[in-house]
Amino acid sequence: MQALLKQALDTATAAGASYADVRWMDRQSQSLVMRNGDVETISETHSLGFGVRVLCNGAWGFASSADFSPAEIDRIAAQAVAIAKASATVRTRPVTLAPVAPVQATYVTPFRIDPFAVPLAEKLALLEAADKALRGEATVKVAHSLLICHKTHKIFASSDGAWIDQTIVECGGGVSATAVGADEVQVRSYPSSHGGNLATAGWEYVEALNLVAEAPRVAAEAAALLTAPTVPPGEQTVILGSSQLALQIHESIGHPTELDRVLGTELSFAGGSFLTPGALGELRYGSDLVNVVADATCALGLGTFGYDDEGVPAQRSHLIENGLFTGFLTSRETAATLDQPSNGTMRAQSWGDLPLIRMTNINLLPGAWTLDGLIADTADGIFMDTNRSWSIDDRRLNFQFACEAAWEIKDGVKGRLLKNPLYMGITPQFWGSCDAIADAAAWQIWGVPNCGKGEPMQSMHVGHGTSPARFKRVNVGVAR
Amino acid sequence: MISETQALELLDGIIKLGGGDEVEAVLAGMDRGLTRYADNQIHQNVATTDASLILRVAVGKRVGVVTTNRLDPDSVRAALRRARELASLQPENPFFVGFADPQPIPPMVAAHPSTLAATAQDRAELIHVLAGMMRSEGLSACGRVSTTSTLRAIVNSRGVRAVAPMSEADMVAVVSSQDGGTGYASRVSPSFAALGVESLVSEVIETTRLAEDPVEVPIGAYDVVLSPYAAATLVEYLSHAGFGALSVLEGRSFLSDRMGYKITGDRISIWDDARDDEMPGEPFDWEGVPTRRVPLITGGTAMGMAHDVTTAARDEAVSTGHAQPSPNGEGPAPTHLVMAPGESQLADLVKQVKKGLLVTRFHYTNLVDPKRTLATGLTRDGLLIIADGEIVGAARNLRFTESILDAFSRCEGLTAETRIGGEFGTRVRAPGMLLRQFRFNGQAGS
Repeated sequence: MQALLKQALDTATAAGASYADVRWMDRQSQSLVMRNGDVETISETHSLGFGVRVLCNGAWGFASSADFSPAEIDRIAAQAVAIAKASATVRTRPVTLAPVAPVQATYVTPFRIDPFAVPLAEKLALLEAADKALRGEATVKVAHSLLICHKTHKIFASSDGAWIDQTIVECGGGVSATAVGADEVQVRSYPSSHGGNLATAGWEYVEALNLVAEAPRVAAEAAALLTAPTVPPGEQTVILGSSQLALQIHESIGHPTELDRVLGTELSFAGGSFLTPGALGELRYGSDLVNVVADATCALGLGTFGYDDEGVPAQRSHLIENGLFTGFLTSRETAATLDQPSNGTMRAQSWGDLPLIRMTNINLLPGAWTLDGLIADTADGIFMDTNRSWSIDDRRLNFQFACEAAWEIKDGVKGRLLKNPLYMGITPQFWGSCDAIADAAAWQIWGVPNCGKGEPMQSMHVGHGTSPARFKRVNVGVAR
Repeated sequence: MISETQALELLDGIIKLGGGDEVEAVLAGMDRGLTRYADNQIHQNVATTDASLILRVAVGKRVGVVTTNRLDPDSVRAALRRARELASLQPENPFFVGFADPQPIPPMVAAHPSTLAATAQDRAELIHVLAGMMRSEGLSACGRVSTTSTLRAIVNSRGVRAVAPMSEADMVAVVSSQDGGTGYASRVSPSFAALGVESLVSEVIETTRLAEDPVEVPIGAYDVVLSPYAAATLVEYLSHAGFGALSVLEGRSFLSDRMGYKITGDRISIWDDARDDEMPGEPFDWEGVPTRRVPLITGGTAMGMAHDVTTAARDEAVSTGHAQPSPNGEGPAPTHLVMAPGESQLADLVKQVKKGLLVTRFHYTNLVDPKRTLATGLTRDGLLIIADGEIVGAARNLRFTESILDAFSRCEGLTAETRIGGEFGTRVRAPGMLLRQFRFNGQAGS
């Protein structure tokens, strides 16, 4: 392997590359899905390949292949350089890179039970039990349960001398119940929507999810939502559960702080950002209570690794400190524009994709309130959780999110279930209205496995750790 | 990329190895080049070559699925064995009725030589032309040019045996001016040579200039003229809300129990056709069933849904050729939607608006309530103010939250010209539309 990857680097530099890196990746996945008592699918996927990224004449080129023959390695390396030379014909500003010390390192996700070693029969038994526990309500027409695991072995090597060997293990699962009424559909999910919850962890993580125990509640709530009152519209005090708040962080903090978006290189697809380089240290992003970090080192995070896909070490850096905007997510190229080192957020979906600035784990640091104390302190409000739909503008300001369920809070007591909760806001005003954050006991890390960005589109696994938090004067609407 | 002959040889060999009651082997080859540019400069330029083998093995009514890009004989044999093991471990699925039976596949040319031959230098030259035109206008452009060649081959133990090369090229430009104007235009074709950079540039510059100096307008209900790009987005999300048979059969779709009923305006006819002349096409689906035109809504009446072999059996129907690649939990889905055009020009529709807006495109559209086709999203890259039948200025972006079918029921005009839009694997060819009283409920922040 070392010889093959070195061959790619040597061919690229001989063809004129001033910098080259190669990523080899071997990814295996397994998923088991049950639907209404039947096995919908048991599937395994395996993909292996390599990608060569080069700088030549001040421009980037990238080529990739699944063929490891020496002839193909030479062809791909040469193709990457040819692509870079083509890029350079439509480029006036050469790429410069912030430096990074090349390392030789190894990283493996800490885990106790290899999820790929767990017998399929055991996994299927768990899924069957969870599925059965979901199907106790007559109005629940779709009971869906899922178990999934991934193992990614990747090697990064660069013409600067880096050699980094990493193995990332992820697993998780979830259940959901869809209740169908005369003219409406209601869904409840656990631990979260859009595929359950996923972590960099072993099978012990799935065991701790307690899918079977939670399933009856999930089904009962889905059914109850069909006849629940609708959440009243208007300006309200809202407590967001940590699952929904994870998505709020993702859309309104994670994405706008990606420096490539700020610099305009994602405008054609995902959009830009309301942030500018001049906002660093100046813009009030939220209330004094709001502290957000990008942390690629935190346990269980889907955005946790040893080194990013440019060989920059995983690290923890502040994005927002006491409400003040203090940091971007950067790459070697974008960090150079700020005369800073990269904070290690370049990640590629696969061997066949170019690394882009992606979230790692974007975490809201816990506050001082117990969750019970937060609710008890709320005279009149709404508790909402579990995302159902999401939409935000191309500068990451105007957002509108709908949740699966809400609960009325009256005189400090969490009461009746409400349906179709939806809220909207403008990012800095919303975060500025945060007046209380629950403590570390209520803090949880959530995995978002489907963050989309780039052309061709890449779906990335990212993480968000947060406790529930309270926001004042939130515009709560109704999904008509 | 793997050749047609190599692909069929590989798949024929897999079927011969047998192993389960039934075997389906699909090969998906891809050769893709994509060049991105921002501020009139190329900043990302990538090429990927890959081929994936998707194996389904059925042991009775139990199906195991293995996907791999390792195509050497040992890896293929191991994948076949593993798919059989996965099948053997599970209980029977009563809905599985077997893989597709062979049907004649009408011939179709789905690959264009200019796309198959396009290089990074060709894409760079196109962007060089575009960037030069933008610089001469004092404008900044970002976007992409992509060329993709694919090969789909499928052989199963029932006798399905099909192979087709396909191609797709596209070009996108998002342009901004120093006076706050932004515009958008795109082109999609099986043929790289047919993309037409000059007409795209002309279109997007016109929009950008019209969109300069935008002002805030109040939220509320407006008569809107949707460009074909914006209309395509609404059709795409209508599809996500429930043209696929699985959602219909499970009661989750707006079509559930509504087939044959009037569900939207008379002017609205939507069908799916992977053989549409203007879109990059597919001669057969991922089960080897030939594609054909399938009416979904005709004159406002619900007419049909997208089926694969499994959902068709549940519904006592036949597959419409809409199977998606395994493993697939979402069921069959239309991927080449067409909305019937009208006879007007976009300017004719504008003339019919006393006070309203022209929407170039929507951004980050999402379904809030699929059963009621309630969607939300924002305008982007050219929201223009219409007064007394003329475009008089530009507006800052707004958020809409609206039922797509309700909005379509208020359609009072369609253009003759269509454009191809759609994202995330779904292509939509749609006309421009005049919709009365379309609801905007938020301002994009400033």
